[in-house]
Amino acid sequence: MSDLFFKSFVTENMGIISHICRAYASDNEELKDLIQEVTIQLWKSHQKFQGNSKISTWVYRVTLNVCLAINRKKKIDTEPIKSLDIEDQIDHTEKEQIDLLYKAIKQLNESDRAIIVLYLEKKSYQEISEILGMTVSNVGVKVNRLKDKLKTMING
Amino acid sequence: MAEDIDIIALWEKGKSYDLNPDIDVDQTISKRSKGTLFWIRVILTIEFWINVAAIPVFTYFLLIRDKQYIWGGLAVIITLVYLFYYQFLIRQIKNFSFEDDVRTSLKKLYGYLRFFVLHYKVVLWLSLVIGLIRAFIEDVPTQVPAEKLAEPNVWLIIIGVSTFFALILGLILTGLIHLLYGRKIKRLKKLVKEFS
Repeated sequence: MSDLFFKSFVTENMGIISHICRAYASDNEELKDLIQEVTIQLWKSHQKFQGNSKISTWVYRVTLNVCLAINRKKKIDTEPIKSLDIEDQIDHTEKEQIDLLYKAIKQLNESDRAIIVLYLEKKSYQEISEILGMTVSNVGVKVNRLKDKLKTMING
Repeated sequence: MAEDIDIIALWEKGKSYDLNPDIDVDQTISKRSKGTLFWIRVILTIEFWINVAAIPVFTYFLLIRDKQYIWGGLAVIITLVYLFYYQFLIRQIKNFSFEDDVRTSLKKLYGYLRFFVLHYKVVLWLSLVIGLIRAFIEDVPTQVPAEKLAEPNVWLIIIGVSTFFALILGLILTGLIHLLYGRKIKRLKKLVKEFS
């Protein structure tokens, strides 16, 4: 992967990286640190990227590895990190539901969070298993359990 | 199924609701990693250079000045072995890749940390044992009068008291190592298990 392609690719995918890191960060400062660390690790490994897996699988692997490997001292704040500028543009009930979804995700343990985040990113069970190193059947069982758990949490 | 779509749709909606931090890719990639492995590498690099500095010190003080060929030779050999060992560890950490699947990466990271902690424990207890043996052979006979040493049970008391304090020191330092890395190792072990 060329350096030029890497830079444009990471810039284009910053939204995905940021959204996943958000599930693990307790505040904006930590979110920025996580994104920076992911970018550094992607940069470090981009020349070794052989194309044996999908480029998106590689990005998700590095992102989740960094989020899980970094030792956070602070307790995760379950309140979502939000943008006040956009808050007014969102329907109130919808906003409440999004808040509840974030809150519910942050209440899950770290490994469950990784599974559900990939599911919400519309990854297939096969892709989730390739990213996380779990068996496809195990992913299926966990996703179903976590979906129910999230729904229960959101519906109260 | 409709509810599933709702969750995914909510997640997608949430993306526009996010406040994305302004990250400059060019600037970020020029920075250094601040991850756990980076700090272990820093510690190992410091230890490597301490070892480099220790070789001439041991050579001069123990081998040339005091002519203690056994202790001096032993110290230089151990330091040299550690020099290569540190180089090996630093290279391993430098080449650590986060592109493996999450379970494999966490397992590798867990292995590194466990090995890192084990290395400290070995160095710690080995140093204490060598220090004690050296003190019994070299220091005690020169610092305690011979008539005192000839008294019954004096050696037993010296060995008992020194071993007790060395044990306490060893346990305190082991506790400190656990305080620094124990929580992280436990957390990684738990994560690896959860992904299995």
